[in-house]
Amino acid sequence: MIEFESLTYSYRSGEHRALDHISLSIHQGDWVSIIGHNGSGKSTLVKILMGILEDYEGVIRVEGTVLDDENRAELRKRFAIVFQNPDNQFVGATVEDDVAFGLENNGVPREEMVRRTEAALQAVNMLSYRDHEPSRLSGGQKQRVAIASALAMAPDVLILDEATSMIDPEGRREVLDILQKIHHEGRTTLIFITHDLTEIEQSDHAVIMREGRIISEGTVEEIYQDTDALIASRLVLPFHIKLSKRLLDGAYMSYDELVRRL
Amino acid sequence: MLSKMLLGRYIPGSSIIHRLDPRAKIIAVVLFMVIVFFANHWTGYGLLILFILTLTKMADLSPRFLFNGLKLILILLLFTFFMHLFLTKGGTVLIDGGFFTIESEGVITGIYITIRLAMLVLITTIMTLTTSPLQLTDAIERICRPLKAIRVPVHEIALMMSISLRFIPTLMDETEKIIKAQSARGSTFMAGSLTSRLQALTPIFIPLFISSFKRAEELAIAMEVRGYQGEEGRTHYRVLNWEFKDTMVLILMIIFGIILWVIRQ
Amino acid sequence: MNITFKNLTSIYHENTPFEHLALNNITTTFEEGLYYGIVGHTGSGKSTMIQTLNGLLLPSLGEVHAGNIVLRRKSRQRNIHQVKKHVGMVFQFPEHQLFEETVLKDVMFGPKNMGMDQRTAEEKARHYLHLLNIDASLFDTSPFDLSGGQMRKVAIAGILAMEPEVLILDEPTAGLDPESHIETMELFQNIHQDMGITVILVTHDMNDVFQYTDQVKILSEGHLVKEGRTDDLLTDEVLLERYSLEPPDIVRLVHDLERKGITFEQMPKNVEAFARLYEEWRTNHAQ
Repeated sequence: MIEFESLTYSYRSGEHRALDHISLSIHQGDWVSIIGHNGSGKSTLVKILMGILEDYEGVIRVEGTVLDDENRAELRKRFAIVFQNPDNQFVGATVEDDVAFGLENNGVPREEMVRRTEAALQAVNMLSYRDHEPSRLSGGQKQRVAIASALAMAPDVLILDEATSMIDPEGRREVLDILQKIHHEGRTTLIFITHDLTEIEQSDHAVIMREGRIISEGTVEEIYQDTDALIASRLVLPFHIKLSKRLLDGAYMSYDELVRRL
Repeated sequence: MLSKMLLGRYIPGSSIIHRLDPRAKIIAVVLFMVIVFFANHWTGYGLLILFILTLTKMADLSPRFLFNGLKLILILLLFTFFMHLFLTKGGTVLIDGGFFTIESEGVITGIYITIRLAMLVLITTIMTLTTSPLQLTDAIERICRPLKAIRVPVHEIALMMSISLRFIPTLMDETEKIIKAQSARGSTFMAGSLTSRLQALTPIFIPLFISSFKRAEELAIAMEVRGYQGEEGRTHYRVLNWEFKDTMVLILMIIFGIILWVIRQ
Repeated sequence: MNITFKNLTSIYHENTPFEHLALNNITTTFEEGLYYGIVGHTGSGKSTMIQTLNGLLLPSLGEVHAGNIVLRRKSRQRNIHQVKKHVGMVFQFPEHQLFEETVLKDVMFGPKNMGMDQRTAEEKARHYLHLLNIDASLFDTSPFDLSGGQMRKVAIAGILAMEPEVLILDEPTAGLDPESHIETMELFQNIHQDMGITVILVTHDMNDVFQYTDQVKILSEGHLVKEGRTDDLLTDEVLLERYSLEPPDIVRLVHDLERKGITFEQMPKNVEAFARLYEEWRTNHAQ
């Protein structure tokens, strides 16, 4: 479990707060979506968690342990992250080299490294591309490799920082399918950052952020119901939710349910 | 034009030459560079040519393909030939053109030196055609490892090389896109004076620099969050396997050198 | 201005082992004043087609007629330049092409290249920046200090300020959040309607194609496999299935409801129209 307690952060002192007293608990094995526009603070939150930004106010607890300078490096090994740009996080010269990169850094013995690399590529259906160079992959495939690279590190928490925003709809679907599979296995906590409400349906818990604050929090159904928060944060509802609000009692339902009830 | 440039290209394959340890290939090429100078008459040069042809065959490369690649450095070869043709004196005078003469020694030396140069280029080409840049980088890192004793950052240099290689296609794509985008905005790169041509490059270079810096920054963060902290405590995914055949290659190379040495006059 | 392809074939890396046929003998017309969608999978030839439309690529065989200018395999630079003047192109992630010191100068780059004088170019630049809601206080700042969304708007203004008669949009909403997505698509719709500009949209988003375009051209492996009215093509489930294209959301819903026995007289274009038709159907069938 990760707990943020009154987390506050400003990029330059005196300037407005990028994060303004954020308190949030993320349970092990959950899929948590953090939704908001650019500048809402969602990426700042991730950067702090990954140790890319420091000097924050407030407390972060990982499994009850308060994150501090001494244990940060160690605790950080439990997190892995996939960023937005598929090209700029591809370090290796080939698919398998990229997946192995993090393992090499952690001094994993070679035999184990080969095993874990293969397993991670298998998990994202990219094993047959193991010797491909990144220039021969689509954006969606590169993001799947990035997920494999993260999974190979066997993290407790997998963070996806707008990982679907730069790829085409097909690639997006593939990535979401893989996340669903990971979620089903139940070992890995998923923190999914997005500005697209159509991508959050699978999550257990969702948070809407705006100007550094959490303005709504709850299950996906509750989020879809919170019209005020949605309007304030200028988010666009998925097609079938719009229709169920317009034509039925507004209750949250899946597309198939909508077709059934109309 | 660039597509004809073979030096530095890699063609995947599974020939015996492809499968050799890249270290063996690099060392063999270095040995060959020395051996080439042992040849000093027809038999020696004949053997060199035969050697390269055999290698080409063993590497499953088409000789025509390889010699097409030589065309690009044809100018360099011709230049070398004519330099010696006109400047080396000795033997019988073949042509006397007044202020210049061509003498038999010049013709022979010209041919020898040109063959020598061509052989050197060919063997390097065969090496790069059969070895992926990544393998070459690995091999250079291993071979240069002793240099760490004198504080040469061998690992960092190798990593830098492999990341550069990985980003070359990405940056080529990017450059092409930017050129097209600016060209759609009416920018012309091929017209006007030199200054105006250079000015026309600004709209290409500035976006390219900006995106490259952004890439570098994001890549650095991506490497950091994946635990990169330099070479300390790092293991290696890629391993190079030195096998008996690799030792054999070097022994054969030395034997070939000895033969050339013995038959020299 | 109409643009016509006549038996146009485009081959990449001709006479090398990497030879690749990108467009295969295509004859088609883009008529003045219409809104076109080009759809097809990655590698279907979409991007070759749009680059051939504005002279960035020349045909290997056949001709492009843009108004009364003809482009062929070896056309003169001057003709190509003329075509670029009339056919504007907004590339994917256009913000990557910004380079000038100020926003205003960047927008003026295209117009000046097309031969407008300083004053006219500045006038146009200001006009289109206003149209795209870029505040005048930002005109003299560096484009690189803007937010991602604003940078994209500035880049789009840079194309519009050239006042093309035909506007090509290559995935114009890639990477945008849903709100900016709608805003951007509405903007192009307004430009199309108010100024009568021909728009050619290339996108993976079938909802946008359905909602905004009049005509659709479907490409598959370098062939133009089908062209016609958007309302006919994108509602044809069998056709879409054959080229593994996703049906637009509304079309899918309407077809799913048809299978339940709920049928409408016409195909609604948006959520509101759908809701109205549905309510009508309900009242008619309440008895």
